[in-house]
Amino acid sequence: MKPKDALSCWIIFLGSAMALIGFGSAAGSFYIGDALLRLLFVLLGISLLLLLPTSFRLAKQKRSFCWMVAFAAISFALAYLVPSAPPKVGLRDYSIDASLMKFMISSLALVITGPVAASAGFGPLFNFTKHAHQASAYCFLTIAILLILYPLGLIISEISVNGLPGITWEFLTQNVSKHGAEGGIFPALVGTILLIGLTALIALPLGIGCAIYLQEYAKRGRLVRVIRTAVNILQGTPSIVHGLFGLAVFVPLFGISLLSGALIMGFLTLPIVIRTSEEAIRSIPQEIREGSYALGATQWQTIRKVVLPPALPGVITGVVLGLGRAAGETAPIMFTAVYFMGAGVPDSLLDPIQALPYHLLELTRYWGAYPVEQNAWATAFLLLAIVLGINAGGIILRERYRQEF
Amino acid sequence: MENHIKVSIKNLSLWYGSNQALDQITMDMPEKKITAIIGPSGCGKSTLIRCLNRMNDLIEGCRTTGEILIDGQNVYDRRVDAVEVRRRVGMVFQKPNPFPKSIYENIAYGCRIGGINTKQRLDKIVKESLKEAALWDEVKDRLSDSAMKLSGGQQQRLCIARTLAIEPEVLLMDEPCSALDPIATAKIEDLLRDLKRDYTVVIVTHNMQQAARVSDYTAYLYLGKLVEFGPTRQVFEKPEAELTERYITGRFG
Repeated sequence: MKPKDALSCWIIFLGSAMALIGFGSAAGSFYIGDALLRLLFVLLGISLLLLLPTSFRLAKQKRSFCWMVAFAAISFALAYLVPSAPPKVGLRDYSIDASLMKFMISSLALVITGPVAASAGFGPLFNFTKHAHQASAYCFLTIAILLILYPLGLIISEISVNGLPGITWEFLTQNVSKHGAEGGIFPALVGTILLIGLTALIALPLGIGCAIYLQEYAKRGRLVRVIRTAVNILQGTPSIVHGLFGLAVFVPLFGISLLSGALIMGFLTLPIVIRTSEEAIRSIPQEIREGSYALGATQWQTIRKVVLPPALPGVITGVVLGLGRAAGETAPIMFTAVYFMGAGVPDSLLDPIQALPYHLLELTRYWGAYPVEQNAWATAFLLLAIVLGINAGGIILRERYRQEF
Repeated sequence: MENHIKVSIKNLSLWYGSNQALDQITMDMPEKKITAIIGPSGCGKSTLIRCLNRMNDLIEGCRTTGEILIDGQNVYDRRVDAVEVRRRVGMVFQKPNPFPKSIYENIAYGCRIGGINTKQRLDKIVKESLKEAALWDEVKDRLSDSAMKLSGGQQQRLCIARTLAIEPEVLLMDEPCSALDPIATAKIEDLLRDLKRDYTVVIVTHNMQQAARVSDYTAYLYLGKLVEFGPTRQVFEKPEAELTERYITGRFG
């Protein structure tokens, strides 16, 4: 690398570092307070403004000038326009939400403008080369990853910190009492597990069968296009609409019951299972299928023994994604399957159940009226743990099947 | 003395949609000989060979007329099951395409779907097929390893062994060496000479030296038409058609 390249790389690095400082301070504003955050943004803007005349004189390029102004303006705007945290409401303060929003807005703006501004603004000054552009692209992509990981970490840590103390043996094994303020969530836990299991039983064979039909048997034509479009529409349907559909169609037949809820959840999960399974089946090369046919295999033998085994990891991923979504859904079951209290552990498919997401919804409704906070956080933690557990289980299964070959 | 005719193609024409790929092909392939099909790219070599085990049935919009007789029975007869045809006429493809299974399972697959399930018989068939395909010594200690770990040449011999395991009468090879290096190619050519003792082999090749080296009969195809067919020596040394001569001497194609 030439010295000039090294210099330009350093400048890019500096630009990205500024973005990172903004990123970190925004993220930390929940703890360090708004004043300090504003100070940082103002300093950032001033330092850029100081650089402006030099930049303008030396570069004599409108483009770089514009970028510097834009970057400075954004820094100032962030310092004053982003709303400060609202006061604490009720028993629990909501400043975490405001802080998260502020973090998202400001870091997104800085992440995009930082490297680009540094690259475009200083570029003409120092005759940037492809190495410098490479460096700025790398910085940008790295920060994009951090940006995605941060809210996830925030959600998990927040829910764990608040929810874990509430997870006790009594909480897990006792029935709901006093509007959820006391007692446990045993029926809801059992209900959710039963619901997911039954949903899997309904969605799995139907979804995989549909995917095999679409990929292997159906001739390419109008019918397949119509089916695919229908599947896409099914996926795009709001979950509350699924719930109302279940209320209109299944509840008259099966009552408010585990079965009605699982059927509706099955419909909700099907499109995801179908699409990911189709994707997995499509990725198996045609030559392998031909090899099987050339040995005198029938179509079904080819599908069962040659196509499905290597496609299985992908299919499992789809199923897990679908079930993970089903586990957290409230709207489809609230009219079709669940009671807040009193349903207990179902004796048959036609009994109503209690479920964690709906339980959480009801608890937040009683927020402030009854001391339900601890149980609500604990319920949220448990629900998150179940969803993440399903996903982890899916990953383990997938890796095990992949290891064979 | 003239050999027994194993495969007899009569007035075979084939269309992909409205596009005619083969035009009135008639030729006889003698038993236990190697017949090479040569010709420039896109002339219908692969299409022709894929007709012999009805692989073209899998392609939508593909239509054939004419007859292909194997031991006097028309494989395109309405009463004949394509699956049965493919058990009698094995095929090795251009690109090695082992299944993502173990070496053992790759070979046992054809037997299993044919209804052979006893371990003893499978073990015997796997061993014999691998020996026949000259691969046994290289893989005998790792039969349970993934077939995907083998080299390209080994994979292709595995595909040959896999085909031999179902004991076909005719062996089709669609440019079996085009993805391989010269050493792997030489191994497969040696193998072909051995296989000739038991099987009728039809090989499609781009490589004219290969056709001259290994085959007993050669067919030259051009734009879906059979231009010349005869003993390899005659086709290469004294071709009847001018088109063949120009192709073989490298002035065309």
